[in-house]
Formats: sequence, structure tokens, C-alpha cells
Amino acid sequence: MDAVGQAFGLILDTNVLLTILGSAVFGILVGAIPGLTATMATALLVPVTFFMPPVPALAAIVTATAMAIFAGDIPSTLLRMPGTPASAAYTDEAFAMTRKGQAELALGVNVVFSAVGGLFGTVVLMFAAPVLADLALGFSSFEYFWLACLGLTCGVFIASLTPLTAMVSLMLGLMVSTVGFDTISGFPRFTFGVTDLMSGVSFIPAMIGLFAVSEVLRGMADPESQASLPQQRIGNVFRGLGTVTRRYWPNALRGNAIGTIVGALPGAGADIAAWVAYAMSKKFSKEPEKFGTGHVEGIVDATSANNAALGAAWIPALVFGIPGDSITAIVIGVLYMKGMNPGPTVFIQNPQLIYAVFMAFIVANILMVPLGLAAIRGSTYILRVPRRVLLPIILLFCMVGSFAITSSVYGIVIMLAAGVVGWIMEENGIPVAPAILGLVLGEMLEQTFMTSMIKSEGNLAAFFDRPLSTALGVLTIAVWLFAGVSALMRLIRSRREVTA
Amino acid sequence: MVRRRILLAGSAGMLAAPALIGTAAAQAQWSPNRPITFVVPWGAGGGTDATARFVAAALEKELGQPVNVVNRTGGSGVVGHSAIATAPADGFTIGMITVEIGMMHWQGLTELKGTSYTPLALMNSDPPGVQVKGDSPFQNVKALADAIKANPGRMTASGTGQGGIWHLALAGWLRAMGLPGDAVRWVPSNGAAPAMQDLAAGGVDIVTCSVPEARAMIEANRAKSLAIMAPARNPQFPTVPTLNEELGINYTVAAWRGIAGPRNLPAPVVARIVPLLEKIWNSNDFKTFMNARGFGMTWAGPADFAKHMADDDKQMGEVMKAVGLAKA
Amino acid sequence: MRVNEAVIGALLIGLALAVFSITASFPRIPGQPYGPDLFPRVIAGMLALSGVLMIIRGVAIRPRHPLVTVADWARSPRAAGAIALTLGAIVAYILVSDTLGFVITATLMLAGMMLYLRVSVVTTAIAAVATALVVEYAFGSLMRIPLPRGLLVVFA
Repeated sequence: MDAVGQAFGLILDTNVLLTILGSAVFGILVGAIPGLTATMATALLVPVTFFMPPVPALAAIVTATAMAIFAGDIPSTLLRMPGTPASAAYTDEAFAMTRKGQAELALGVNVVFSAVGGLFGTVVLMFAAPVLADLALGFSSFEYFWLACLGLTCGVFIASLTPLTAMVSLMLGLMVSTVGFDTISGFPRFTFGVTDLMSGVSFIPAMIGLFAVSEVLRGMADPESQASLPQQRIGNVFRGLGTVTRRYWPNALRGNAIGTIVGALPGAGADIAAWVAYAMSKKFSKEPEKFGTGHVEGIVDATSANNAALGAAWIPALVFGIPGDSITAIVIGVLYMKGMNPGPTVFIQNPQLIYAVFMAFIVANILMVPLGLAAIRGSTYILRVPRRVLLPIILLFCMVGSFAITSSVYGIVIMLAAGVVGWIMEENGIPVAPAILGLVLGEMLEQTFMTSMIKSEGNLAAFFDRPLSTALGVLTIAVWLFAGVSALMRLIRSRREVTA
Repeated sequence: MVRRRILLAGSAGMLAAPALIGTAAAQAQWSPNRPITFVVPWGAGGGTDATARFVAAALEKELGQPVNVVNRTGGSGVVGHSAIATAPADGFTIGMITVEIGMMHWQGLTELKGTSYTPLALMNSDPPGVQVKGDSPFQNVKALADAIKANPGRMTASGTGQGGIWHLALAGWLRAMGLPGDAVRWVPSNGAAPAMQDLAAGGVDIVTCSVPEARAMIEANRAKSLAIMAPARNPQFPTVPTLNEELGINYTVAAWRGIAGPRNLPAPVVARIVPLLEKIWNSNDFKTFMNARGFGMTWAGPADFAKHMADDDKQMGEVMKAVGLAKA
Repeated sequence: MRVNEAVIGALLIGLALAVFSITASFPRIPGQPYGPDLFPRVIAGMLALSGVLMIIRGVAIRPRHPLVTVADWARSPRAAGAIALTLGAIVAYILVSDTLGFVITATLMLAGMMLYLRVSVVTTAIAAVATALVVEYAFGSLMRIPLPRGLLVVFA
């Protein structure tokens, strides 16, 4: 308990609190601008943290990333421009709410459930880190392969009203993910001799193109229409939140749990957590037909999950020095520099520092509510700008954000191509969200499959050799069979109705 | 913190006095009038990125102009290395080049090699260790080597992608023991961290990555390092013996990081930056940083760095040809 | 522009065939019976399968849908022009931003699009210049993103 007391002293220092406040504002700005990610915010903070004591250094990173993941929801909801990849899973849902005039409810849900999710992830991190890290360390390529399969299944579930078009979209995303240098074979694929293509199709510019640019194109074609980017004032963000909380608190809890588990697995972070949570929400919802029409239920799950994942990603990072996501990859470096070497001993050698980091998580997530509200209020000015002025500016932000990811116009080329493709897909009733999931998971799916094959020398039975992998494999196949059978049943039932 | 700023500013001021620079005194002093771009061919969060960001932050203080780190990732380093080589040779774009520059051209991935750059300074090099699972039956590298000899092609190793530096380290070690380079099957991974995770999960038998990359897992008793492929022990990890001590073979290899610009950088630029890099390398802050990360500190000026790259290129080429990774 | 699902299906099959022919020249992984062509080919197979299903759906279930339905925007020259202008602006930015620099290119791009959308000249001038400068400062200076300086390089 002495360490906890010391930790309080460390965190309740004026300088530390000011650092937290400053990084919070920084994080919100970064998160709200598409193309600037939470990872980038962390990388930019690193040189600054060289000259800081450990607690403010880590508190700055913790706060900035938590704020960035939430703030990504703001442009995602208002402009269909996901600020960070973690918002992509429910961008369409949130934007549909804005179209229905429920922007304030969507944003209120985002800020409150993000904060709750963040706190949940922190609590798990504080009390269950060693146990969960141990579990995560049992995952080899076989287990990850089944996880990637389960993740992809989410893509089809999300759009299960039109499974075939969702499948087409998903496969296109997976196909594009194979472009570029292949680590497994050391061979560049589909690059046609272009150096930039060696790095593959970066999915953030692709995401900006598929969502935001196709929206700008639609808007430009019909600038008077209110169908996209409705102009409205944002009223009381908390109105309606009580009802949502009473009705969907189990969803929030489930989102938190999914976020924590996915986040704790090395290699899967907040973005994948949001996809899985959203798909689960739809699968188990009493009214799945409302999903995609501006229904708040899935957003509760997903926004709870991505912020919970953020804290959980620190679990393997702190306990084994294995990054849970790209943010904690940077954090591990900072931990070493501050003499807090990751490993089980970090809890014994420097307990007061670790507790202070946990408290920074808590302070950041509490601070998220007032600062988030201020950010939402500020962002409403965006919606008052006439659309003819706003559309070109949005396009410029999309371009600069895409440029920022690759530090070259190659990012803008990807954005343009994805924008045109996304627009054509949507004109033809093919959803774009599964393509993004395919792009995100493609590399993991292929690499885990190929490395597993190399390990087992081509023996497919090896995917069911290990207990954990067998369990995940059986689960995956059961989900597929269930989905297949229920689709067949639906088909038969609809045929009967037609003939009857 | 404030005091440190003043100290650094003061020392930068002293350094600007031509008399103290020596080599630069003869030439017109180059001083940048706009921000400098510092290209890193690897992603944010890795060891190269961390080192680059430290050097860039220190250079920024010395030069009084922003030095912006730009991560140009992908293609196993080809994209970033190519961005440095093809930038205008005016001193406003420099970057960190890594051991891969002597490997990629053998694989036919690029035309670039060490001679495509103006070498400025070698800052770091890390030898690989031989890591096995914490509860592995192999107590020393001799036992492991015997097991490999007894079952060629049965064991698996990981640490990086196909044809990456740790893959070549393994192949080179096997060859030094008189075995074929594929006597241990290589399981490509996306870097050392996922490979260490797979080692702990029982997915692979050996990971040949640098000891600092394996450190947290070693300290958690999930992995142990049996030997390093270096001429001498690492003071940060004094209990890990060298291959020579254990097996009597003189095989050494290392992943290195250096700073370079496009070919034909103007002489005044080189004369200005090299002494600054040497000063940064000698600073206590840099030493503290490198020791904290466990990174090996190696210095070489432009001429020695160029020779180092040429030697390295030759060694890598031989191994890559022998294991069938080189094209033609 | 909406096309019949059968057309999409045919395009998907075409893409799958292209993938098969390109991957034919891919090398093996040293010491392995399979190579980097395996995964793209599996995906291409799935694409081709979806393509066949799309054709069946397009031909058997919705045979009366025309091959191509012209969308509303394509009938209005002004809307079609707006789309062409937007795509053209992005292409132009990709081509000239390095030479002209970010501030000039962005100002021109914003001004062109706003004027086409009939924003008044005064508003256009203010909005375009102010946005370009704010973005240059926020991204270029604060966030340290290497936006091209182009012609403005002299004003270091």
C-alpha cells in the first residue's frame, strides 16, 4: 500500500497534471484529424519524453493515446471520416445516426462509453496483468490463424443482409493486402517494379479513401442535398444517454470484455477489437435488422471495446516486453529508457512507478468526459460551415492525412484509388467496410497460415495439434457451420413463403 | 530539465566556434536555414526508430533547426533506403541506414548498396544471440549444436523475415559449424518480438535475434540466451558466452545502424554533421540511452563506415549465395 | 453508375484470372513446396467463385436489370463536372505539389473547387488561403509532417 501512496504523490504533482492536460488536448487534435493516428501521437511524444522524468513521460503517452482513440469518433460520426482506424468498424453506423439527426446521441455514447471502456481496461491491467499476459503468451501462429479467421467472419456478419456482396468486398480487401513485399518469402508481389508498391497498400489512406473521399465525391455531385453531411446544431450531448445506458449496459460490459481480451493479445489492437465487438453486438442483438441504419446498440459495444483494448495492450508489454499493439511497441522503448525494464519484476522493482502509470490511465479516462464534451462542442462549428466551403476543405484534410502516413504522395495515390473504387462499390450496393477488415487482417491471416505450414511441413492436421488451437479451430468451424445452416434455413423459409 | 537545456545550448554555442571543430575550420561553415528531414526505413517503435529519434533530437539542438524524423517503411527497408538515396544531395535529407543495405541487392530487391550513399557515421551494432525457450532441455549452445547436427532439418528457428539479418546470422552460424545453411528450418516472422512470442508459445525452437530484443523474456525466465555471435561478451549481459568460448568457432555477425546521406553530399555538410554526430555519440545522454536499451555502441567515421559496409556486403553475399537467397 | 451484377461478376472473374497469370512467375520459398503465390491464388479462387454467384444472381434473379444504369449525377453535366474536377484536383495535387509546394497547391485546389461550387470570390479567397496556412502550420510545423515546400523554399 505504501507504493500506492507514493504513486499518488507522483501523479498529483502540478507538473504531471499539467503534462496530462497538455497531452490530452494534443491527443484530441491528433485523433480528430484523419490520417493522424494514436501511434503517430506517441511517436511524436517520444523525443519530448527523453527529457522528462518517467511518470509524466508515460502519463503523457497514456493520456494522448486514450484521447486520440476517442477523438477519432468525432469526424467519423459527423463527416464519415474515421479519425483513427479504431473508429472504422462503426463509422457507417455513427454517420447514419448523424443523418437521422442523432449526432449528439452518437457522440455522447462515444465519449461516455469510451471513458468507461478505458477505465475497465485499466482495472483489468491493474489486477490481472500477470495472469492474462501468461495466457497471451500461449498463442503461437496456429492460434493466431484461427483468430484471424474468426475476425474475418465478423466482416461477413456485419453485413449479413447481403452476404454475397460482403464476401466480394472482403475478398477484394484480402487481395489488395497481398500487394507489396512478402516477409514470408522475401519476395515483392504485384509491385510491377514500383518502389512505393513494395510497402504495400497502407490501410489508413485506403480507409480514408473508401469512406471519406467517396463521401466527398457524392457530396460534390449534389452539394444541395442534405442526404450526406446534414447541417444541424448539436444540442445536449447527454440527452438520451440515460435510456441508452439502462438498455445497453450489458453491451458495454461485453464490449469491455472483448476489448480487453483482444487488446491483451500481441498483434491485435483497438481497431480489431472494435470490429469484433461490433459484429458480436449484431449477432446477439434482438434487433439485428436495425444495424446499419443508425442504431446505437453496436456503437456502444464497439466504442467500449476500442478504449478497453488500449489499456489491455499494456498487459503483455509490461509483463513480457511483447507489444500488444503499435503504441505499446513505442512504450516499451520508453520504459527501457526510464529504467523500468518490462518483465514481471517491473511490479516488484518499481511498484510506485507502475501504480502511477495506472493512475494516469484513470485520470486520463476521467478527464476524457469534460474534454471530450468541449471537443464535441467545438466540432459542431464544423457542421455550420456551408457545405460548398466544407467539402473542398475535407478533401484537403484527407489528402494531408494520407500523405502523413507514407510521408509521400504515394499515400494520396492510394487514397484516390480507394476513393474511386469505394465510390463505384457503393453505387453498386457493395459495402466498403468488409474490404477494410480484409486489408487489416490479410497480412495476419496469410503470415500465420504460411508460418504454420512451414513449421508443420505442410501438414494441415497441425492446426488441430495444440489444445488451444484445437479449441479455437473447432469454435471457428462451428461458427461457420452455424452461419451456413442458418443462411440455408432462411433461404428455404423464404422460398416456402413465396410458393405458399 | 531547464538546466539541461541551458547546458546543451551552451555547448552547442561553443561548438559553433570554428576553432573547436578543426576539420570544418578550413571550409565555409554550413548552417541549415530550414528544417532537415531524417528518414528512417523502419517503423515507429523499433530500435532503429528509437535510436534515430534520439540522434535527431540531439542534432536539432546542435543545429538550431528542426530535424524531423520521417518513417518511410515497407519492402523490408527498400522504400526508406531508396528515399534517402534518391533525395537531393543538399544536406536537408539524411537518414539512418541499416545492415539490410548490404543484403537487399543480393536478393534482387533493389539496385542500392552501401556505395549509393555518403556515409556519415556508424553509431551502433548489435550481435545476435541464440535464444531458446526458458524450460528448454538445452543448457548450453554445445548441446543445442549437437542436437541440430543429430537431426538436420528437424528444428525450427525464427527472428525476422525470409532473408533478413537474423536469418542470415543463423545460416552463417550453421555453415561455420560445417552444416548446410538450412539444417534448421527458418520460420519467417514480422520481427523479433513476434518471434520471441512464438518461442515462448512453443511454436519454434530457436530465435536468433539480438539479446536486447529478447531481454524482457529472458528476465521473465521465458527464454534463455545460450550464446552471442560476437567477438566478446556484451557488458550488459555478462553471463552470455560467445560462440568462440563455447564452440571454438570464430563466427561473428552484427546488425548495425549508421547515418548517411544521398551520394555526393557537399563537403561542408559532411564536415559540419560528422563532428556533431561524434559529439552526440560521445555524450553521456546517448550512452545512458543506449545502455538502457542494451544496444551495442560502435563508432566509425565516414571512411571506416564505408569500409565496414563494403566488408559486410561481401560477407552477406557469400552467405546468401550459399543458402540460395541471392538471385543469380 | 450502376451496372448489372452479372457485369461485376465478370469483372471479378477477370481479376481472378489476372492474379493467376501474374502469380505463375512467382518463386518458391527456399526449401518449401509452396510459395508467395499460394495465398493470392486462394483469394483469387474465392473471388472467382463470388463472381460466378454474382453472374447467377444477375442473370437468373434480376434478368430485367439493364447492363448499365446511368446514375442521376451522370445526367447532370454540372454534377459530372464536379466529380471530374474533384478527381482532377487530387491528380493535379499529386503531380505538382512537389514543385509548387504545399501552400500554393492547396490554395489553388481549394479555390478551384469552391469557385466551381459557386462560393463567392471573397469567401473563396479567405477560406482557401486561411485553410492552406493553418494546415501548413499545424501539420508541417507542429506535427512535423514533411509537406513539400516547393517554390516557397526561399522563405525558409
